[in-house]
Amino acid sequence: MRRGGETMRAAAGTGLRAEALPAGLAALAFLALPYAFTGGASGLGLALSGYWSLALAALCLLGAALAGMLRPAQGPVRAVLAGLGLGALFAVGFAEGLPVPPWGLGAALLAAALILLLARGCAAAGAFKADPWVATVTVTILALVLLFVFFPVARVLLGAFVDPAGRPDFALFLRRISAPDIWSAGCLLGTRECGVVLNTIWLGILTGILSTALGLAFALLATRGGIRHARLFDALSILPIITPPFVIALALIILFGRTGIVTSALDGCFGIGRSRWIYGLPGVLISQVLSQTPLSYLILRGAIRGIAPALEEAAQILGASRLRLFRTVTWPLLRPAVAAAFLLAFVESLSDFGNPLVLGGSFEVLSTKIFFAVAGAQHDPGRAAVLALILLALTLAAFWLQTVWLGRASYVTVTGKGDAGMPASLPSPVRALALGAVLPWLLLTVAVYGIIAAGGFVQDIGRGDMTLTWAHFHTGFEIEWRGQGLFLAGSAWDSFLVTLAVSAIAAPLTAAVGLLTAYVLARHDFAGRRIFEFLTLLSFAIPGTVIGVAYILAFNVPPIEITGTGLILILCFVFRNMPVGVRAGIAALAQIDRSLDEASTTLGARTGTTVRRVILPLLKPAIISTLVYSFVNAMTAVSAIVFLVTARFNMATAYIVNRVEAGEYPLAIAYSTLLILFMLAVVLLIQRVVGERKPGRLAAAPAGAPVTAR
Amino acid sequence: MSSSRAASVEFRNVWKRWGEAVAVRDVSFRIEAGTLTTLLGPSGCGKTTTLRLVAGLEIASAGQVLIGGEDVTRRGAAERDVSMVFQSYALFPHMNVLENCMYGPRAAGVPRARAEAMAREKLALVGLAGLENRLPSELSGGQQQRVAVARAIVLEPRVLLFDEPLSNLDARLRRVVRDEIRELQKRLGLTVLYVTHDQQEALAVSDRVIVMDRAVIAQEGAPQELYHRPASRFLADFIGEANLIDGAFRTAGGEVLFEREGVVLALGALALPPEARCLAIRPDRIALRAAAGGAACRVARVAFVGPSHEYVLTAPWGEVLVVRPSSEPVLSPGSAVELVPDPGAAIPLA
Ligand SMILES: Nc1ncnc2c1ncn2[C@@H]1O[C@H](COP(=O)(O)OP(=O)(O)OP(=O)(O)O)[C@@H](O)[C@H]1O
Ligand SMILES: [Mg+2]
Repeated sequence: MRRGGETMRAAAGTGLRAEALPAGLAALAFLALPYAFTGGASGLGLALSGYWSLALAALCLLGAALAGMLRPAQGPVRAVLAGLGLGALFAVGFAEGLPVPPWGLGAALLAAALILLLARGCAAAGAFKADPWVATVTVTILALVLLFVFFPVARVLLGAFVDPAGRPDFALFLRRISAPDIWSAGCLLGTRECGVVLNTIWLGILTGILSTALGLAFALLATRGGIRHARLFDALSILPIITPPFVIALALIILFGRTGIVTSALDGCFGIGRSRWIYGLPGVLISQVLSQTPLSYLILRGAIRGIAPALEEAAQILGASRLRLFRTVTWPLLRPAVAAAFLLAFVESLSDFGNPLVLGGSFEVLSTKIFFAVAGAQHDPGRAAVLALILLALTLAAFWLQTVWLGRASYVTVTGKGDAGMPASLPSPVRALALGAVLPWLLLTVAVYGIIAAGGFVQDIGRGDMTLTWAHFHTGFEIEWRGQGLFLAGSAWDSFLVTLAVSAIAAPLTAAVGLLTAYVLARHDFAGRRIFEFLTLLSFAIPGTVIGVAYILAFNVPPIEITGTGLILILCFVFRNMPVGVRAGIAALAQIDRSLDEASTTLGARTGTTVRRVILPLLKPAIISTLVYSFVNAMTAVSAIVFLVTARFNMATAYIVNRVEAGEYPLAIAYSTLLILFMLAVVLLIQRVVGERKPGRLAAAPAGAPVTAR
Repeated sequence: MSSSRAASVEFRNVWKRWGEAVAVRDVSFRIEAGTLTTLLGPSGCGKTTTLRLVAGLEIASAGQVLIGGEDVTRRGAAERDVSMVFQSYALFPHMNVLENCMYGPRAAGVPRARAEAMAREKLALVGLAGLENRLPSELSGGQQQRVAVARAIVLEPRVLLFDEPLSNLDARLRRVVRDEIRELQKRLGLTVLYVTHDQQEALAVSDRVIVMDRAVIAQEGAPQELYHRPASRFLADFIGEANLIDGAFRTAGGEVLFEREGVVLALGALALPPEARCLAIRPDRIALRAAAGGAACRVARVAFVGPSHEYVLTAPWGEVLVVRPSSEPVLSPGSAVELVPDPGAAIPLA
């Protein structure tokens, strides 16, 4: 009685309400809101002034909405009408041969309404198991991913094959891609400099080997070395996650540059002459290894912990010596994790932009070369596209290698926790070797972070002037009291506030998009699921520099013309970090029994209610880790956004990079210190607000998540 | 008393396939409103799948599902007005007992105060008044089970489904909860479909039992009917234990005789199906009589299990199991015996 009636009324009501919302929105947008970003006429106005495809889009929309209300069973018709409408909307301007108006609020609302109608039409046609909620979420996310990941990347790839006027030119592509400064191997023959590809790969391999070896040494010492304060390693390993990537490079310059602290000391005491050795491969390598080693440590530590001591005990009982035990049992079990750590470091090195920019000197790598091809004097987007293509191919190859390599070796991955038993301690030669590698490194890390901590508070640490001062914080963050109120006079305030706003908007959006995608992928099966999954994870493999170029190429012309706005920064972060949310969500959902969803459904709840009241509350840890990750990433990322910032919408990292370029190191360091402290505070706050505190989550989540190419 | 909400359930030639695999093959049955029916069968025979087809958690590949005479084949679980008690209970871990029980009414748009009253009423009915503010993790297994039942009946569903509701309880509690479920079903006049693989549980609680085997219905009927007149060897052995002996039947002077390798058993008056080739007989329906040394059957082993002695005999074709009350004198291993089936107790099968 009660419930039957309610359900039926609800079912009858939802058809009307669900169609009325997009229809109403669209009507408002079409009649009253300016269609274009630049303001001006409404959709109706444009349609009357010759944009007939816009009229077609509006008619399709009307048709789909009416069919939804009056003939809800006509799913295919509704879907086709809405799809046609979307097509027409994208064709506005192109079809008529008139100037293409850049999408504004009016156009965006029309598109949103059409996407909603398309989704509901698909559901009514039986797709997505006829679940309108799942259809709406999936189609919406799919549309966004196509527009903001797939389209720009495709645009880059195409950009490599066209000439500056936009005509296809394959010969030009061949000329571009065979340029000697890309492929030359001169340095191997000792004749000239090496090409940028060889430089990049060489740097990646060195970084991979060194950071994996150091990470392994740390991990062995922490788990088997009988070191009492091994937990200190864990604390240290969080630092690079919240350190903007180029800050380490900056500290290295201050230590080892021509006028650096160590250089001066060596010069003074031993008469070792000053040189610029830090600029180039050595410097970039050291800074990359410094930032990558902790991640390798985390990966390898997990793997070592997973090795069942019982296995090693068994070998020992069989009479193996400790060295032999290490060589025949422990090491083979570790190999897959070592490979994973190496590949991660390799990919990170390939996509790193901040360190080569600051320290590279004449040593060029792909990411910096891409940047200068777009931003430099040459301004050659076609060349940037070719370089981006090569970089993308390299990272994809590394990811592919990872799948092949680790997929084959997966039998070694140990499930669950290691069982009880005393882990074998390290054989003393290995322990001595590990200590020998680790101690100088710890010293360097302490020195680097000491510079970062102190640099902001002294006159000019770069020249050894250690007079205490607040001057740099004053320059950057001065607050004046002027007549009516507070006035943010410091030069860094603009970029800081923009960064804050962008991060604060992007983080919850990332979490929402990522976790909804995870829910759909983990809990619902529908045609095209695998393609959907692939597209949502695609941006993982794409280096930030490539994304930056892609966004510039794709979004500085209508219909989606958002270059130079704050919006493009937000979108960039949301879709770059979304895979982190997807992975975190899928992992968390695997722990939530499906029967909870089903219980909710049999109690009469629709999918949306189930997600809101059952799934999301149980996903709290995944929500926190995604929020934290995307917030921190938005504050520390450099590579993609240096292409996208403007004077009006500048970001903290881009601002700091500019200060470094201008030689204003103290201000750059002061700002970085503030950023690091701010991030720490916000991360703790997020944990407080979103949920009860779970110690360990913070460290585990962002580090455990496969790290995106920054 | 039958609840006005309870509805009948009917399957008409229902199939459920996953690719090549068939979990439910051309199944038809009808469950009357206000009755308790169990789905019984060995593991993997398709019981859970059948139950989920009723709930709408799976959609039939072919055939029709009717609830209260209405075709609901294409309707999702949220629109069927059917509740389910899951094997794992599926209590929402972040909600307390009361909130768990209010979930259904709240999802249906019932105002909070009314939903709370409904939830409290049903919690009292299952004997959980006073535990409303506990979290599921703070309850014992038996209490969790009751919360799951209370949550499922708050909305007075047209059909209530149970998937092996007792499998997570210890043996003693099982009997208690089983009887409580039956009691509740009768009191509220609910239509209940109940999945179990425990035949004793099925016999104890049901109005009717549907036995499934390898995706099809093997037999359905009242518990006594299934026990006393199993339709096949599978059923005779699955419901209660039975000795299955292949051999020849013949009729002599109004009495049926059975013969195998020289052993002749007198079975009394029986309706003999035309192609009877197998004798099924329950272990407690055979008397043992001490016989001369030349008899074909001997006691191989005997075990004392309290109320009875369990004998394993060797016959020319193999072993025979016999259970006798422990009040009878015990026969020692090695002694020769003659088998005397209770008249009319044997079940001739094809
Ligand atoms: N989602 C699925 N995909 C493929 N096959 C399935 C799926 N669900 C069930 N099956 C198969 O259908 C058959 C019946 O499964 P079902 O769960 O109904 O068995 P059951 O009778 O409940 O067994 P149990 O007593 O072990 O719970 C099994 O062979 C199972 O492997
Ligand atoms: Mg089952």
